[in-house]
Amino acid sequence: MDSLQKILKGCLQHRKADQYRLYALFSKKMFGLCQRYAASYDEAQDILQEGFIKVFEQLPSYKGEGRLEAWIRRIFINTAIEKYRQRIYHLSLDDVVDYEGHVNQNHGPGTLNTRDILAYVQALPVQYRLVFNLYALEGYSHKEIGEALQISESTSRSNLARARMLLKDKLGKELKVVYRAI
Amino acid sequence: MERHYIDQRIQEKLEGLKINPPVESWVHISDALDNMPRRRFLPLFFRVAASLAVLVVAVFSFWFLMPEGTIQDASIATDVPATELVPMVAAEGQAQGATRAGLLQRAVTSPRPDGLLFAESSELPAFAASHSTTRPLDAFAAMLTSSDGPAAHFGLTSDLFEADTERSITGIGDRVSDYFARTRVRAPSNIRFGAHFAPGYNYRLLADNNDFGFQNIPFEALEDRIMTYAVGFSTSFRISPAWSVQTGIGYNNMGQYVRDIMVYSHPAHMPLYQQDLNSSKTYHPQTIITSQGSIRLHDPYHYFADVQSFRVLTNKQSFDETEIRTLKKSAEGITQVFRYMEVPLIFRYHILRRNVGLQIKGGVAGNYLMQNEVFAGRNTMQKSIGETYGVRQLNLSAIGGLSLDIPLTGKLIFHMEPTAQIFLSPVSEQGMMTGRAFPYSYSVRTGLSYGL
Repeated sequence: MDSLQKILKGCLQHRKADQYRLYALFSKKMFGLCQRYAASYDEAQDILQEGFIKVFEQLPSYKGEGRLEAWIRRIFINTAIEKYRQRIYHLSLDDVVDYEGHVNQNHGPGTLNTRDILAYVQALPVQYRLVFNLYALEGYSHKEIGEALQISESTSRSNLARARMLLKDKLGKELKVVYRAI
Repeated sequence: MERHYIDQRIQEKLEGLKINPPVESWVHISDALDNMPRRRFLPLFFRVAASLAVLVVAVFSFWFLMPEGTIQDASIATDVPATELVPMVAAEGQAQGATRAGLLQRAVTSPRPDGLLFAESSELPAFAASHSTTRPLDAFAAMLTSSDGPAAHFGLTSDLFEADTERSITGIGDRVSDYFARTRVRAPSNIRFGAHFAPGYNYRLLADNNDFGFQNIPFEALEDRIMTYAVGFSTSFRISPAWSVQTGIGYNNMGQYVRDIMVYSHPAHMPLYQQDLNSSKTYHPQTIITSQGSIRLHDPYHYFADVQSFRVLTNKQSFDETEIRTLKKSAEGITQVFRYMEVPLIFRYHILRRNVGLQIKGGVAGNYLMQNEVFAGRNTMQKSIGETYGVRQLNLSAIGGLSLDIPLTGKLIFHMEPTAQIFLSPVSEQGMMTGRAFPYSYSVRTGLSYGL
């Protein structure tokens, strides 16, 4: 804890070495999060970079209340949402409907690994992906999602249902087998 | 509410997912941070210099602000036995015809340590002479023998002018002698010989405008100090009661640990690339960039990979890709070590002489590079795997610190010296590549000196 405090102090003093230490501490986890919210590796990289720049900009406002990781995580989620808002005006039809086009591998039961699942989530249409991530993985309510994405609660519910359906098509058979057995 | 099985399954797989980001991400972030307006802080060098300045001011404040008479000078002891001192100086003082009042006045109002300091000056004989049969000299002896120190007895000032012939010189002389025997205060030798051993930490100061040198590699976060040692012999000459000068010869290790470089080797300890048998020296197809210069490797049994940045430059054609995948990790990180022969010139100022002495010291040293080695991992007792390229053969360093002197016998003194040392030129001549790195160390020199 002392060393984290030291790193934070160094970051507040704009010491590049400490900024790098903070980056090294959280970059892997945050890049994993970025990959979930992004459609591609490049987009995840963009979110990662923008997210960390915001972390360093906003660090003076971090008062030590709550876990630092949770605070950083929130910044990255907001960055991903902002990215979505910027992008929403340029959405093509493919972004909405072309799910099969992105993921077309067939897996037998028990062969799915983290990389496959990540690929399925990344391949979801952008709004479905965001809603699914926020609801299923971050624990947001539909009301919160609606406010964040500037959509109605019912749209959020509908997006989530569609996201689950698309994922179910890919994962469903295996998952049903697994969960019925439990 | 029961969670949907899709949500649950995906959360299990993706929650806490860690993926290595591309190396260039940090470079972009770093560039963006450089362009952000920010408050500039003093570089480390100036902070260290400021701290030293504060220390010096504090020491001198201690010296000047202390009440008069609280500091003794070991120069009170001369080669003349104490029992003979008082009668002798008494006779000399009478011969000089010094007036008692004038001498006393100077003794008690002196801003220097009290009348004891006169022992070495021409004024002591006169001082002692004029009071050899008076009560003030008794006070003088009491002052010496007191466990409370001279300050407690300096309040006798007003009594000093009152004549008192009841005390004998011999009695006073005995008491002074007892004092010398008890406190072991001896005459400072004019020449001393000593030896020291100095375990300490070594690192380097990067003097670039930011913490980075070559292509935004975060050297500060990727390198670390190491613990090494220095040994040496010295001789010092006393040039005045308070000043002495010291020189000698030493062996000093500087260096650093480079982290997040993984070292791999073949499970059967086979060489990893084809060596040119016609050449006396074959270079490794990899080069490692550090803040102190690039490392030229010469060990064919290791392969290096940077897990945090891009400090390892590899000529991939020299390696068999399939063989590389079979390698086993053999060490983590590498250690750069520079071994120097050192000739110091140090000035010492005695700021306190009681039962123990305290000196402040400062000076310079010439450092001649004798060995330049790189080791896999932290163990520097094994075979070297390479050398740092472009290291200066000759360098100058500045030395400063304090010395606590504890007399063991009349002539033998134990020294404990917190010491800081910094090179005055960058260790490597290739500053264009990696920035300018100035090695420094902070150590506690412990040693013995013998006075002639």
